[in-house]
Amino acid sequence: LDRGEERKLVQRLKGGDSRAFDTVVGLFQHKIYGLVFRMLGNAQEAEDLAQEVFVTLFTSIDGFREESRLGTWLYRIAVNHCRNRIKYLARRNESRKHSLDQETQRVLSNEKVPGSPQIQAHLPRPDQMAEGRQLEKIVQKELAALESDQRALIVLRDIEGLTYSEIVEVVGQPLGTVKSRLHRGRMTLKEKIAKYFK
Amino acid sequence: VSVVGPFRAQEDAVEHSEAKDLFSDYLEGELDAQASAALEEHLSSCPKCKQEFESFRRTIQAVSGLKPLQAPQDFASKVNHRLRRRLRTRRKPTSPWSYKLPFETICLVMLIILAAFYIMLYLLPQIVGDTEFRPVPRDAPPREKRIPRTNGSRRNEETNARQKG
Repeated sequence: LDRGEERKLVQRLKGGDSRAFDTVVGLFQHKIYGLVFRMLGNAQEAEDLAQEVFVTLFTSIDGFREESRLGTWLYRIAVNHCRNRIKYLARRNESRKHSLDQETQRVLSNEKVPGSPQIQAHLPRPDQMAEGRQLEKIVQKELAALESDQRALIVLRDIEGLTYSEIVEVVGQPLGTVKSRLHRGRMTLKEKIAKYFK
Repeated sequence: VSVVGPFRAQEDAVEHSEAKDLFSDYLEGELDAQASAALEEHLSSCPKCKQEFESFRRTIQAVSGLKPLQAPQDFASKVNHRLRRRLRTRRKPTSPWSYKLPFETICLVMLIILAAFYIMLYLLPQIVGDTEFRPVPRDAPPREKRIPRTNGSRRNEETNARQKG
């Protein structure tokens, strides 16, 4: 979507056009679901929360001042929802359960889009592929155990590939804070998964 | 990024930690040429930091290599269903009892009521004098003027009565 198309879409959304809403859901559903899944590490929670993100988009579109891109604003809603859900789950002691449930295992094993070139280069053989899958599960598990701010930054930067200026808009923190928290998160993650590297 | 200090004494612990602080910037190409060269030099001479850097690089590679996920097939229809349900709930006419007042408002109202009671019961009589309201029956005889009696006079009356008795 270029800026002009996006502006028209937003105007239609503000007018309550349900077809415009369907278009937005179609455009962003996989990205938002992926972001929320990586943040929460649980398929059922991710589906529920991703749905809630789109409902929030529709019900609060009047507050969208179009200073940022629609996608960035959606990410912002998603990250805020995730933070709240993580707090809620922590209160319910759910976050301590690091084992992935069946639905989550299914989602992780059915990822349809092929991996990045670097990973493929490292995993040419089936045994190495299995190793790669195992590593992915470990990474997902350890990622979901990180502090929510660090988790969000790693997901936004290293998985979703957002630029630093987009991340600053999404999380509402200064660039320096974003960079230092991201680095700390990466280092923490490294400490946890380095032992699995041969 | 400072590069003069950190990489002089190679066995210094601070130097190692400063080198680690640069890993992210280095991998993202955010270090200038001088800082990059200094870090590379340090990594080539410090096996421990070199190993740390390799683990760090592989961690980021593993994370960024996580495959994009697909939302469930019925995701869009579920979102629509949820939205319709939410809008229906919003439009429902609300009964007067369903209004929710914020906690602060309730507290404020309670405080005002308590303050009003306090003023009526304790402060007002002190300000305007003892003006306790007592309804007077219609057929009651007119009230005589009260003559204040001292304790001394009452005691004399009692003594006189005893003497008469």
